[in-house]
Amino acid sequence: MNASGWIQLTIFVAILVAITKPLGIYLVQVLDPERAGKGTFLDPVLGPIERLIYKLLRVNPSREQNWKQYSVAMLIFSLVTAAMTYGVLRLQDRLPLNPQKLSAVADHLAFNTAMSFTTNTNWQSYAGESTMSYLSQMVALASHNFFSAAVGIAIAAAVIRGISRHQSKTIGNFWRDLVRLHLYLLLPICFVYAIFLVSQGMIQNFKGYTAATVLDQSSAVSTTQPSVQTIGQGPVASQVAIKMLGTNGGGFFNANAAHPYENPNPLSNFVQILSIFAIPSALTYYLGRMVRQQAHGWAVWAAMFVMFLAGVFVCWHAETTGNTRLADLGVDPATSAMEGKEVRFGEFNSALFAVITTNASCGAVNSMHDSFTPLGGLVPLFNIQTGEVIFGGVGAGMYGMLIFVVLAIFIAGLMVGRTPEYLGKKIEGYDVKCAVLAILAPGLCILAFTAWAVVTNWGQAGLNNNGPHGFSEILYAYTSGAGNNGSAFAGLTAAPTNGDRHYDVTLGFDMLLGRFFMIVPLLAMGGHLASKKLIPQSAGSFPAYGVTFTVLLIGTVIIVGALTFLPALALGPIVEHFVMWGSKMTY
Amino acid sequence: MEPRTMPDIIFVVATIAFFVVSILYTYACGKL
Repeated sequence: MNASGWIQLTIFVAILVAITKPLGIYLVQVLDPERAGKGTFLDPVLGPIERLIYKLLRVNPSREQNWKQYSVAMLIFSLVTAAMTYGVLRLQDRLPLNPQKLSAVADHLAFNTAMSFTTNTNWQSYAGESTMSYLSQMVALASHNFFSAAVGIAIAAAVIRGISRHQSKTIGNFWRDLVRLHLYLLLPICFVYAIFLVSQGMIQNFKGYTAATVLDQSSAVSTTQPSVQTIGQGPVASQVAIKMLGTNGGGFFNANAAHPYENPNPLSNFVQILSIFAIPSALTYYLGRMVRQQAHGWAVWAAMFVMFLAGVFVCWHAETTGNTRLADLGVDPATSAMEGKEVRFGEFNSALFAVITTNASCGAVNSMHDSFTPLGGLVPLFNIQTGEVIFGGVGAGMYGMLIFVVLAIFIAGLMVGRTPEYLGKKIEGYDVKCAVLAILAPGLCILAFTAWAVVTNWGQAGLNNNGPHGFSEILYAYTSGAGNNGSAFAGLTAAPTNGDRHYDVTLGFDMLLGRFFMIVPLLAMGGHLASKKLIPQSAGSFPAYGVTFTVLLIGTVIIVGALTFLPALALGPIVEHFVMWGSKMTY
Repeated sequence: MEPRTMPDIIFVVATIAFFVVSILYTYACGKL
């Protein structure tokens, strides 16, 4: 834990705080211009395009939907876009922009990938540069990065409207939210962001791959057959911009953000991790503005921030400490944990990237989490298992956190013997049932699929390690899937060369269930809250701000996560940690 | 494409089935 790391962390936090309010205000203007009193500064320019899209889609943007209509619209949109992605991947060998003449994506891999990108997971059972044509990368994958990010933010906005409205039957219009988020938020930022990334050395082209003759010819077959390295090309910057801003995480290249074309230098690395947190952090301000209690928004932000710092410190400390057993072999512990790390940017930036990408449901990686120490690897795993509510995915983090807010308020109400009340809305049995259903869906998927995989031959065949680390690889895969994160422990081979479909198919359903079976009850809760009266808060109301609320919220997140996953974690990274420290093992 | 037609149908039907179930789940949640 060196000075360089502390300085970078301080700058990161300072910029994150600085952008939260202006971006939060902008989000209100994008999503709820009526509440903001005006639209965005882009409305006069892009307004005609917005109206044209509504006309083409035959959507009346002023006609609001109740929660069921909103939910069904979201599901139909997701189904259609998933089918589109599946079709493009299966037909890519017959479609243009395929200079490498890559074959069609295998059926199970196309299914897994389509579900992965539809759910904002971006789990990748493939290596981008050897599997996906440029058309597939752009039309099937990058477009989904926009779609799924916008869907996540829209859901969060709908639930927040439910909390803030007084006896309303509606929670917004899904199509309007979707169009406005694309036109006024995601596309403009990504346009500028992609140009910035190009300025840093990221590539953006449609060239075929470059065959470069390497300088070291010691492995050459003969002088007439020199060693050649194939260097991938493609429209990378445009995809990386939304990959990070939309907390999607799916890499253009297999090495993801560890590839120099996908993350050229320390500045691009810094901006990429900052952009992961930008919208999730701003959504806390949006929450405060919408419920007319800014202190509540900041209290939620504070809870996220405290858990973020805790994760950074544990992971950073674990990785800089390394495995002290290696000292017995004469290796400096301070540099012993560099295997699998982003060696260009150091241990701190590997640890920070890993924590941020799993706090959010991003999943981009600049280091291999499989190579982390047991405790260092536990942090990303637990981050996902707590629901990725520490800033979280765009929208997903906020709506996930709102579940815990409702539970925290409910628990507080039980403790003092009053009907729980959240910002003037009574929390009733229906709301708590919905919240619990939303929490149970991903937890059940993770544990059930993991249990299935560990007792089967196909489950164990993909492992790179035995023992607790192998268990962690499986647990991480299904955690990443259901949590819609998408990062991998790197050791697991989910798409083996023998064509076994089990991992692709089970992970596909893991992702679907984790995403949509969480969102649906959450929208139900939002719709139910919207229909209630807003009652004036009294001296007896539990304040949804301040230190007490923040501590209670953090406690609820940690306890629910711990109660659900501690037994599984004990079988994986925890036992591995004690084995490492209690024996002479050096793995 | 020809030898792979059956898996394609299965995956497409499974995907549609999931979303149909999700829509039914939406209405089930309304009756909690």
